Amino acid sequence: MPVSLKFLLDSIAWGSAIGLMSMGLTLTYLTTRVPNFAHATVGLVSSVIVVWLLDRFYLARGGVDPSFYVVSIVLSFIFVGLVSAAIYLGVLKPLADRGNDVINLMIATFAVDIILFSLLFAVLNVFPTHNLERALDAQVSGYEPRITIPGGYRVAASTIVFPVAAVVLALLFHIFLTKTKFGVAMRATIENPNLAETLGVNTKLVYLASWFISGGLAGIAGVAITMILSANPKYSALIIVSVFAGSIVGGLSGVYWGLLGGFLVGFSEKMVTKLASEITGLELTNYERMVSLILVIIVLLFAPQGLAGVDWGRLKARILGGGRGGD
Amino acid sequence: MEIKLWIFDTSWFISLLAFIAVAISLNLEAGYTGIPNFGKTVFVFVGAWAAAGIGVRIAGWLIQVIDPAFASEVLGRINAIYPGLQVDSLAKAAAMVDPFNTNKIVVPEITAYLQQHLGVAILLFIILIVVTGIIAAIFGVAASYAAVRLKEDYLAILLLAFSEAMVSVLFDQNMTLNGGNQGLWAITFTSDPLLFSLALTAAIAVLTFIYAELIGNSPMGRAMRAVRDDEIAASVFGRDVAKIRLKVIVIASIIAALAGFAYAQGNSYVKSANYTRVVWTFIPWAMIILGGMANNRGVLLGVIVFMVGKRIIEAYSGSIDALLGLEPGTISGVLPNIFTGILILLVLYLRPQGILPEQPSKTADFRKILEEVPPE
Amino acid sequence: MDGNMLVVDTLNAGYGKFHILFDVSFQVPKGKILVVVGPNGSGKSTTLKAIFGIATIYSGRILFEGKDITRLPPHDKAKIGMAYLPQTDNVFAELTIEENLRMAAYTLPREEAEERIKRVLEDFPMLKEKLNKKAKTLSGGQRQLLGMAMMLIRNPKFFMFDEPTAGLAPKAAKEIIDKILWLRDDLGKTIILVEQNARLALEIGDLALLLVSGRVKFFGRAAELLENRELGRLYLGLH
Repeated sequence: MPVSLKFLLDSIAWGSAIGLMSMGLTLTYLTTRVPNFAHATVGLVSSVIVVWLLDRFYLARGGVDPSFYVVSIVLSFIFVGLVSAAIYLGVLKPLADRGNDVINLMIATFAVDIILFSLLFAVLNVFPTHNLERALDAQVSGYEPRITIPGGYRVAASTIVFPVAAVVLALLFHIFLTKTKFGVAMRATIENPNLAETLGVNTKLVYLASWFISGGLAGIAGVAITMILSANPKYSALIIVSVFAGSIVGGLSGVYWGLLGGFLVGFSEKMVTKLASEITGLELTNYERMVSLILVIIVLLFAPQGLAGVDWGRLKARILGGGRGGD
Repeated sequence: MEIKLWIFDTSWFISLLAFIAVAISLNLEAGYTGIPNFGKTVFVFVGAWAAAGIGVRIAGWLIQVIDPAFASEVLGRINAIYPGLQVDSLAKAAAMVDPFNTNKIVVPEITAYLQQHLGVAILLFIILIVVTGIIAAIFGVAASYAAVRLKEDYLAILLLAFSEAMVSVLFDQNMTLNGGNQGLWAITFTSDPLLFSLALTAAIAVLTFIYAELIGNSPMGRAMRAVRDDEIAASVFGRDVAKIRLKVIVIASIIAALAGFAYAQGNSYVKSANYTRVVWTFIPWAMIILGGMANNRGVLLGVIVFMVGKRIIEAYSGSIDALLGLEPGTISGVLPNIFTGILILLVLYLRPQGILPEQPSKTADFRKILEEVPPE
Repeated sequence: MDGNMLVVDTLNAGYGKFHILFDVSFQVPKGKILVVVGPNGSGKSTTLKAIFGIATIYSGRILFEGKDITRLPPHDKAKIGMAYLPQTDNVFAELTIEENLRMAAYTLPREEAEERIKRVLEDFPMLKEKLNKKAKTLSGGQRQLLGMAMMLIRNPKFFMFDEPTAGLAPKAAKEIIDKILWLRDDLGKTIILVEQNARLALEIGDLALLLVSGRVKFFGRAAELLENRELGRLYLGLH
């Protein structure tokens, strides 16, 4: 095996974080038709929560235990969800109602990104810490319990927690979308808002809810990234391209495709460059950005609907059946 | 020579003029032709790169060819300082930062040489300008490949991804091309680089404005607007949409790169990390929206209003830090950006057409013609 | 109050500044089918849209069971017992049949919703078989039936159909028409049916409205219009 199990797990964890972000991005694109440039920064708002929890509660009591993950995930989902909903209500909806087109709305999300990024930086900068040296750039992962995996490596608990969380969240979201009245109404609104409106669905509420959920998912991804890297909003610039690539690769037609696409992009970024480095002997891990760009280009040229648009049945028949008739 | 008008210094004027050129070039793409270029950064950086990573290499090579004695003298000194190095190419030494930073030794030598040999300086200058244009055009052609095929939001995302990936992979991470995350000193031509930069950016800004005005009122300008407003109609009426987009992007890319080159003359420590998408993509967009798109006077106004406003905020937010007893930079580092963001949101909300909205063009709007035919 | 469920009085309507209908007047008696026929572009669809409230009304009145509903917004029209099936985008293709029916029952309380869905599935057995299939897997005719089933969930009194048989094979079209007749004959509903196929429409309708260029060229018994050779030849492609 050219790469270690640890690296494989790290790549899966990274892919999960990107996947959660892409899933949220796809959701708000499907409902309100705006690609949200501020999405990654919104997600990283949860870094404040992580630092605060660690500094005020867990370090004071001796360290990080399993409850840390549950608490930070739940709190981040709610808090960042609210921030995201506020951005929709306070910025995007008023601008859209005024007749701004999609490019202007994208610029608005760019503006929100800058404002949020600056605020986040200032907050982390001045955040008074009791047990940590500093909030900004806090290496949260250093305090995590470690798990020993086959091969003798020790990985931070978050490496296992977040991929599991991503799967659980996807399942929960699926249940929401198919088994609850409001969830089905959300799917209906995504497809045909006029018809939904005629049947009595409050589409404005659906849009607001989609921004809340999208923000919540990003917030959880933000916790993962804070753990994997550190508490610094600069990472949003690092990942925003990958997150968009994930949504595009998945195909902007379904949220699960967003999760899958994002996972694929995040995972490939790490894996492909690492494998390439091992095979060629060169130091290629710096070319991660190129991987997302290349994936996006391939998709846009050959399969513009992304993974969602690929006719999997036909592809399977082609590969297995060797081109029998039937069309 | 140093200008100082209240809080506006030479550096500010250089930025102002560079932004005028970049914003107008963006306006040609977005305002006139409807191409949402969210990847302007890489094009500006191409110019800065031409002054630094490329410029030092070409300068080194040229001087070594023209005056080998001078070159060996400089190389001799370097090899004496770094015995393990033994480099015999002035070009290579000029561009090296790692493991030995010979760039910072060679560049001042080259600059001094250029000041004494006007002919070589002029030759080098012309070569670099041409190289800038060519590389910018190549990047532009690559970008236009996407522009022809994709719509609005997809195109915006791809151009952003393109710019971020290029800058990150070619420059941030890669030591060879432009000193990676360390950066390189660029070639400057005179003993007063700030003044030279000022003059050059001024020239480019003026020429760009004149060019944009001329093209805006020409048949090409009408074609650009036709492509923006209704692509299908434009092609039905015989316009080669792909070719128009290609032309516009290439022209805009060259302008942006030239602006970057001129800007780097006055900011001659060139590091790709300093050319961020906030500064060179978002701010130009903010400027053209503020001023009024598809309207060169509007863009000019937008650039000036924005630059003045931001400078005022920068100047006075420093005192906020002092007032609150915070470390300098805590508030003043982020306040200008926050104000930029809020300003854009306000403009989009209150007056999305900008200060000077687009004047109706002389030719009839195809959509208006369509409206006269009622639906079933 | 006369026996009319719907009265349209001197209606002038259109879209924005495009004036489509000029001084259109007609009535639909309770329990009858009014068919709207005429050449393309004569305003048939616009009539339904104006009644339902998604077109611009310049002047005139619309009375439903004696009450003036001219300015009533579309979602309130559903509450008073009106249902409208547009030509396209009338079901949720990505949702299953069951989910579509649940969406149709969105504003009903839980028990009533369950009951109505059960009831409707009994009347539309072909849908019962495909409950878990997405609506996009249905044929054109089945989709229209789903649309009708969704209308029936709210048990409206008044139905408006905009060219429900358009693009369907004759067998599927017959199924739709049979269902519409069932609505009138078995359930006593009142119906307006816009139809491109004039002969078919006039054979099943009670009353007929012939619209040409937005004006009423004929309003009366369908059988009468069917026999009118001049109008039939000029505007309906008959004879």
